[in-house]
Amino acid sequence: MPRRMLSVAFVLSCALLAQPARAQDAIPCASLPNPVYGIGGSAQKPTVGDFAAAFRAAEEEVTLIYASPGACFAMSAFIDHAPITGTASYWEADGAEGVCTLPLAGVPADFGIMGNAPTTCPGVEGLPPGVGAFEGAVLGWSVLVPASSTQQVISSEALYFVYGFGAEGQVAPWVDPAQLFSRNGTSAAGIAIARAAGLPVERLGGVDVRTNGAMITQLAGSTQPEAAIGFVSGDVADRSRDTTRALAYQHVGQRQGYWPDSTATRFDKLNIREGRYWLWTSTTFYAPLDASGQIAHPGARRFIDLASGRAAPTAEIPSFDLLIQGGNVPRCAMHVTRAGDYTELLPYTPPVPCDCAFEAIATGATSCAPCDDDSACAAGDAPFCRFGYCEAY
Amino acid sequence: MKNTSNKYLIIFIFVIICMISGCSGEEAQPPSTALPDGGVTSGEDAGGGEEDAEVYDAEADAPSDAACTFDGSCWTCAAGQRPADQEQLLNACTPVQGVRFDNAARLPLLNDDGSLPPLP
Repeated sequence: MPRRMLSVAFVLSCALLAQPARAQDAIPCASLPNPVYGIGGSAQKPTVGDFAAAFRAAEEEVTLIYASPGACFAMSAFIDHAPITGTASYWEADGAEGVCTLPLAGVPADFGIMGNAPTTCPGVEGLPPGVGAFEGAVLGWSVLVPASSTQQVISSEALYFVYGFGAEGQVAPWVDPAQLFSRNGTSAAGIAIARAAGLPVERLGGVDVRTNGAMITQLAGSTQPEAAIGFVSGDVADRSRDTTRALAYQHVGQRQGYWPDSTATRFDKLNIREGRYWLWTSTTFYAPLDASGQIAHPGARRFIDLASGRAAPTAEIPSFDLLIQGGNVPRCAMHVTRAGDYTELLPYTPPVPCDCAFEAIATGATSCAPCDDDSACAAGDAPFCRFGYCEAY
Repeated sequence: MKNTSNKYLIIFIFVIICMISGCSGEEAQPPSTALPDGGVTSGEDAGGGEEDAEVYDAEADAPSDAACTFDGSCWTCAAGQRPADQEQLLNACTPVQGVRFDNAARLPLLNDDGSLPPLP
């Protein structure tokens, strides 16, 4: 779809797909304290919400307002200068999500968030001048089934048939076209699954449900749970474990499938971190830059600096904890990397590891010894105090 | 709360020390108040935006001669060695639970040699 059509589609989709407000009527976004407007993928919406709540509670209050029509719409905002219109989400300090209305003429985006490279978006040849990219944490993608499904695992080849052939693919039990839930090529989720399946994104079939949240709704409400299948970002999957379940994923050339975590019920992201789970990407933040090359909007700069790890966490905005608790993996906990979106996995050694801290925050427990400084770490295997725990280096 | 405050104080002190003395690493790291693996600034004609911490080169810290062997089902690496490529990473021997999807049994349209047919 050409970019300009994408922009028009965005405006129309905002009008058609406006989420219902809370019990109170939707309020004007401009009435919120120090609004900062963002746009992008629904995959990152839960994480944005976590940060937004913290920023609302901060002494220097900022309201993150986020429209999530799809990752590639961030590029429309910065390439075509398409304003954000319709409605968007905002969050109170207690985390409660609300809906606010934007002016008819819309507002320019102060930041964008994507889980895919700009060039994977239709018609996008690169990042426009004057827009910066800031790499954030790693985020997995999960192939999901309803919680009552008996299915445990899926392969890359199976995804090829399910989403490339539909019912004709004969991949039991996923042979009912009405139960094959999907996304389109403007979403990072759709791009991810297409790449995993070896499908051109324009050939990714299934019923387009438009957002990660809607995917959960469809799967959870399916009247044919054994036949239903879909996919979402890892942070959305983690928050939906009461109604859906992630399948283990077996990539091309892999002898068996693994969950993102060491088991289907843990939250340690061990298989992403150690390279046994192929389906992950890096969240990247985008923002207009000023003449000095800094993020132009102060509120956006503060958010992106914290969410990307460019700035250290604070007591008010414990970004490290928020990212991990939200299902993201900071680079310091990764032991694999890749040069680009869905390219070959490569071994990686973070310069300063945070495996222990990651496990403690993500799972609530770690076998690592806590510490305040190196002196508290026994000589031997873990003599260095990193992020409050003794690590090997 | 006090332990949380101490943790953040320690993190803050650590990054300040890194700013002053420079953190160790195979590549020179620019001063940063961020977590050591903080984001990267990029973008065409970004107005002379600052160069931030780059993505670390996996090869720089990985053993130059990874010694891993395949035992017929998975790859085992010798002590001190690490998987060298995606094949060895995806199929590393591990106590972590995995589940096999039997492509041959469950994909009737799969070619006999395991390759995929063209899309309809």
